Parts: sequence; structure tokens; C-alpha cells
Amino acid sequence: MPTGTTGNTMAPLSSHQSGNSTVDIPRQRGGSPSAVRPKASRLLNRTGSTPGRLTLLMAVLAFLALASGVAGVADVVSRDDLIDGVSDGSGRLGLAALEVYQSLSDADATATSAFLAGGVESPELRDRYDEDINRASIQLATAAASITTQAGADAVARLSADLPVYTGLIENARTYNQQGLPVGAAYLREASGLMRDRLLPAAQELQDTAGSQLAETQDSAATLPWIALAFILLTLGVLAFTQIDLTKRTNRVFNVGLLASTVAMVLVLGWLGVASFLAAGHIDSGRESGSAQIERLAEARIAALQARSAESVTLIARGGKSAADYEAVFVTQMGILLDGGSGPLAKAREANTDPELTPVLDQALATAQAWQEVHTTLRGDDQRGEYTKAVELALSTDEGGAAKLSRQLDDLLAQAIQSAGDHFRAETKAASNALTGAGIGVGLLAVVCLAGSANGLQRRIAEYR
Amino acid sequence: MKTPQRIRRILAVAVACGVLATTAACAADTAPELPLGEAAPPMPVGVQDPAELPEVSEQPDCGDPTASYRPANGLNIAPGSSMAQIRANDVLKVGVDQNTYLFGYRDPSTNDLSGFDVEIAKEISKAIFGSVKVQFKAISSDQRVPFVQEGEVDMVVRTMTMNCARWQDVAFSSEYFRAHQQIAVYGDHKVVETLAELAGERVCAATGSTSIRNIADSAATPVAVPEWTDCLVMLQQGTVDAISTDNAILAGFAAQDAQVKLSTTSLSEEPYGIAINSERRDLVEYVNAVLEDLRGSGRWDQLYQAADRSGNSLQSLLGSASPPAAKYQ
Repeated sequence: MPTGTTGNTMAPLSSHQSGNSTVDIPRQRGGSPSAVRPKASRLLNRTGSTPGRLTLLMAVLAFLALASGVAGVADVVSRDDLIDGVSDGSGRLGLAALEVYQSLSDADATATSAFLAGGVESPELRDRYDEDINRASIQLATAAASITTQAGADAVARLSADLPVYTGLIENARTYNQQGLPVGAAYLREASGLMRDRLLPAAQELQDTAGSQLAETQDSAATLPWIALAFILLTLGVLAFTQIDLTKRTNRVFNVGLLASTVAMVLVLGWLGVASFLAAGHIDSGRESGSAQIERLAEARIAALQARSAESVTLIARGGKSAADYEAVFVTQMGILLDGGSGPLAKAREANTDPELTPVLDQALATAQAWQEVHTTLRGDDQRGEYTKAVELALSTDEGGAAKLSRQLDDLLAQAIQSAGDHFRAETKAASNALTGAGIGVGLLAVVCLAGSANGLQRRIAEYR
Repeated sequence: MKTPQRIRRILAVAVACGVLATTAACAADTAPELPLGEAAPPMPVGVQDPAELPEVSEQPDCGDPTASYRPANGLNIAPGSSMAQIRANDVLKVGVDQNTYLFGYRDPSTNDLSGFDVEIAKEISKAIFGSVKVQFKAISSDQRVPFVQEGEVDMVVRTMTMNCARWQDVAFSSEYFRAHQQIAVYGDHKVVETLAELAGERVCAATGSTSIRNIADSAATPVAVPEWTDCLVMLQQGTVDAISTDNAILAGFAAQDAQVKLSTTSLSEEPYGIAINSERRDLVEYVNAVLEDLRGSGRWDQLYQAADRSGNSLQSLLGSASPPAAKYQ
């Protein structure tokens, strides 16, 4: 049924209702002069008779039941799709973007730390660097497949273009370092600069746009189905009016068809309402203790990795002007990490609802504090001229060494991110489960509603023939 | 799995667009355009392209810039002197380079600083303490004067040319090395002997060096970088056409990469001195006494001939040389 016709027929119907007719006779008095509004008057004349009236009601009910069904099913299908989007599309994108950022930060920290150690790189650091680049490349491809914003696509393009340049520079640095030639350090500086000035800002931008894309999808998936609910409530209203009207006109209390139709539509209302309410709840929870939590923890982890990188580069720079700049970077990143008020780690602890995660986060904070103290000690050593001692402390993997503590912190944060990721996936799955069968159910019930009202009114109309 | 999901998606979009006309769902499937940016080559951190040059200051006339203070008291350390102060600190703070092969560089395999300048600093420490107690600070060319003036270091031993302009800010020891400014090109580039032949080409030197000023005074385009090795990286990457600086530095580049080709003509004399705070004349005199000792004892020649792990020495790269004679005011 075309929408335009409904609008036209609805208006005379409602104005007619207010005519306060209680008798089962054709209405002539209220008819408008045909000279003034010929078209409207013809319509009223035609619908003025009871069978005409009932036919119109039947048509309206049929349309409303159909519209409710279509809107309801469309809502379930598109919500299901949005939830798929939360888990597969923008969710995967959001996680991929965070992984890219973290892997790149870790690659930088690992490369600088290996250079600080000197000599031939340890297999452990080499493996870690390779793994970081591998993960960054794969997650970049994942992000490229799911990105839908221009800013995100630009960031992915820049990352894709610069990552091979970065790895090329690192390989050059490595080759020269292994030959004992100082130009290797210059390649490392250039690589680190490329990372800081081009790769990490692009990764940050990708993360920002992916994060808001995910949040938007989550918002859309968690809205109430307003259009469907409006149609359903309107259908129920017209059903109620029809039944009251029929009761008044025919003195028969129940019309089985219309009653069945009403029950079906109430069920549609209940099912759709409950399913979308539950789904929205799971989506919100998946955001609060899932994706939003991952973002905070990843921010903390990236701050820790950049602090670690700055610690190494400060020692590599060995007292020059850039040493002071890098030390300032360490202080900034550690400040972000230890900020008890608005720092990401503090916020993550505040938002945490998982009791198993509480000790992990507490330990992460304690580890960051311990590292901060060790850093102060090694900076003091370096300032006093005990460079070798400072480097040893920075590279120490023994208990209380800076390398050990920063690695511990990284592992704890990675563990927390893993756990938040599990929560995110579980809640998204639960949201999807809440909608199971809702599409088919709503569709079938709408058909029952349509059939019931058609059947119920058809019988009344037939009585006039 | 794929097809039903796709159909559902199309259905959802069709239903949403057609019946309900919600705009958000319709706009979701437009793919963003990929940018077609030009590749920007990587550059060293802190590169100035073209170089920002300080105001040309009138080169003051100080007579002979290589003339330093005569070591009146030899190696004696009087109480209350600068050397006694350094002894009390229990460490000699020296600004060096850690990027210039064979002069001051970090050996990546040992993490230790090596090179001629570094060894000179160690000799001074040995004279003061009887052992090596040096805190090395790796500084860039433009940090040399401020680090000495602000007392961040006791002295700077870092391929530093003595000239009258610098004598206004710091004091210099007697000359301990004589370098010459030359030009390095790469690979197939024709070897050039003068900067005039590089008109319009990009020539690299370190920020705050005497070389960058020489390049700026020619028809070549100066490109300034924080560290000398950044110049070598840019030369290798093809982002500059040539490097012009002291042969002491360029020879180190040629030793690291056989494609670096050096000119043979000396464009200017570059006498190296140790920079010390102007207010510590006693320390300048003391260092001059140490340098006298190095010249006379043959230690200077030993350091000049000392080969690194790869077998390179200043002698093997620059040819035989003897220590420049000390001049005093």
C-alpha cells in the first residue's frame, strides 16, 4: 500500500471520529458541502457508511500491522548487522588500530634498547622486534579492510607507506652497527625520528578515528527501535479504537480476530522491546568494561613503551641537548602513567568491574612506581658520570632492573587488555544472542496481527452484505 | 555464511533506506578515497633544509687565533685552582662527539667512546687524577660554546676550529690537530675541488659549524644537520649532493662507505683547539702543558697511528702527520 494514500485517508478518518457517532446508520448530517470541498466530501460520503468505515479501518490496520512488522524486522536485521559491526567491523578495526599503535611503540622501544645494549643484538630482542613489525603489518591490513572514514584511510595510507621505510632504516642501522661503524647510530636516529614524527602520530589518528567509529556503531546498536515502536503503538491504538467502536456499534464484546491481532501485536511490542533493551545493555557493558577499558589500558601501555624508549634514547644521546628532550619525554609519559586523577591507568582502575583484574591493575601501578624510582637512580648515576652503571641498570633484567620492571609493566597491561578484550567479545556475543529469533518472531506475529484484524473485520463487513 | 550475511545486509540497507529512510544506514557503505601522496624521503631529526644561518657577525681580529696562553706553571696544581676544583669533583667533564669516526665515536659493539679526541681527554684526566675519571657528554656542534660557557662541561674536545669569533666566547688551548676543509661527493658524482663547482646543488654540514658558513657563502645550497653522520646518511640516501667539512671528518665517512669520494684541495685551514671557559685561564695553561707533554713524548704520534678494530687509523686515512707546533700569545 502506498504511503501517500494513507496520509489522505487517515485525516478524514480522525476528523470523522470526533463526529461522535454512536448509531449504526449512514451519516449524512456531518457531510461537508460538496461545492466547497468536492473531493473530501466524496471520500467522506464513501466512508460514511459502516461497511465503508470498516473497510477503511481494515486497510489502515493492514497497513499498520505490515509497517510494524517490516519496521520491527528491519530493526532487528539492522541491529544484528550493527552488532556484527561492533564485533567484526568497527570492533575489529578498533582493536586493530590499538594493536598497530602498541606494536609500533614496542618496536621502537625494542630497537633503541637493543642499540643501547651494543654488540650483536640479543635473539630475544630481535624476535620481539620482528614480532612487533609482523603484528603491526597484519593489523594494518585488517584496519585497511574495515576503515570507512577518510581520516582513517589517510592514516592507514601513511602508515602503510612509512612502515617499510622505517624497517629499511632499522636494517641499515643494524648492518652498520654490526660492522662497528658509527653511521649506524645515525640511521637509528633517523628511524626513531620517523617513528615519532610520522608513524606514531598516524597510528594515534587511526586509533582515534577507529575508536569513534566503534563508539558510533555501539551508539547505533544500543538505540531503542523508535520507528518500529511508533508503528506498533499506533497499531495497538487503532486496534483498541476499532474494538471499542465495534463494541459500541454491534454490542458484541469480543471480536476473536481483532483480539488475536491485539495479542500478537502486544507480543511484538514485548519481544522487540525486551530483545533490543537487552542487546543495548550488553552493548553498553561491552563498551564500558570492554572497548573503553581497552582504550584506557592501551593508552597506559603506549605511555609505558614510549617512556621505555625515551629512557634508552636519553642514555644513547649521552648528555647532549637531545638527551634533555628525551628525558622530558620520559617524565611526561611517566606522568601520564602515574597520574592518579585523570591518567588512563587510574581511570581504568576506577572503571574496572572485574575483581580478578583489580590486583593486576594495582600491581601495574606499583611496578610503574618502582620503575620510576629505578629511573631516578640511573639518571643520577649518569649525571655523576657513571655512565656504564646507568646503562647496566637500564638494561638489567634482574629483579629491580629497569628492563625487568618495564617488561613486567608491559606484561601486566597486556594481560589486562586481554581480559577487557574477552569481556568485550563476550558482551557483544550476548547482545547478538539477545536478538536470536526476534526477526522471525516479530515478522510472524505481524502476519498473525494482519491476518487476525483482516479476518475479524471481514466478518463484520460481510454482515452488511 | 558469507552470502546470507550479505543478503541480510543488502536487505537491511534496502529496507532501511526505502521504507524508513534512515540516512545513517545508507551512508555507511561508501568507501573512503585513498590519498595519492608523493613519497617524502626520510630525513634526519633536526635537519634544516635550507640551513638557518645565524646573523653574520663581523669576524673580529684577535691576531693569530691559534695562539693560546703559555703554560707558566707546568703540570703543578695549586690549591684553589680550577684543576683542584676538578679534583674535588672527582670527575673531569668533557664534551665530545660520539658520531665522528676515529675522532669521537661510540663503538656500537662495545658501547665505549673511542677516537683521537676521546683519547686526548683521557690523557688530560690522567694528568689531573693519575687515572681516567672522565664523564663524557656527547654534544652536537652547536652545543660546544654554550656547554663551556654554562659550565656543563670543563672542556670540549670535539673537532673544534679555533677562530677569532669563538675566542670572544671561550678560550682555546694550543692547537692539537690541523685539519683542512674539503668536499665529499657520492658514487658517480664528479669529484669537485671547489664549492663553486657545486652551484645550485645541496651541500650538507653540521649546524653551528664553520663549514656551514663556508657553504652559505658559496653558490651551493646549505643543508644543516645536528650530527656529522647525519650528513653521511643524507649523502647515501641521495637527499644531498655533497658534504663539505674537515678532512678529519670526511675521511671517517670514506672509511665507512667506499662510495664516498673526497676532493684533494684544501679549501681552508681548520686548526683544532680544546675549548675551555674564558674565566679558567689556569685550566687552559694546564691543558697546554699536557699537550706539550703529548707532543714531546711521542704519545701524540701513538694516538694518531692507533688503529681501531677494522684496522683504520688517522694515519691510514689522512697520511703521515706530526703534531702542530704550539703557539703562545
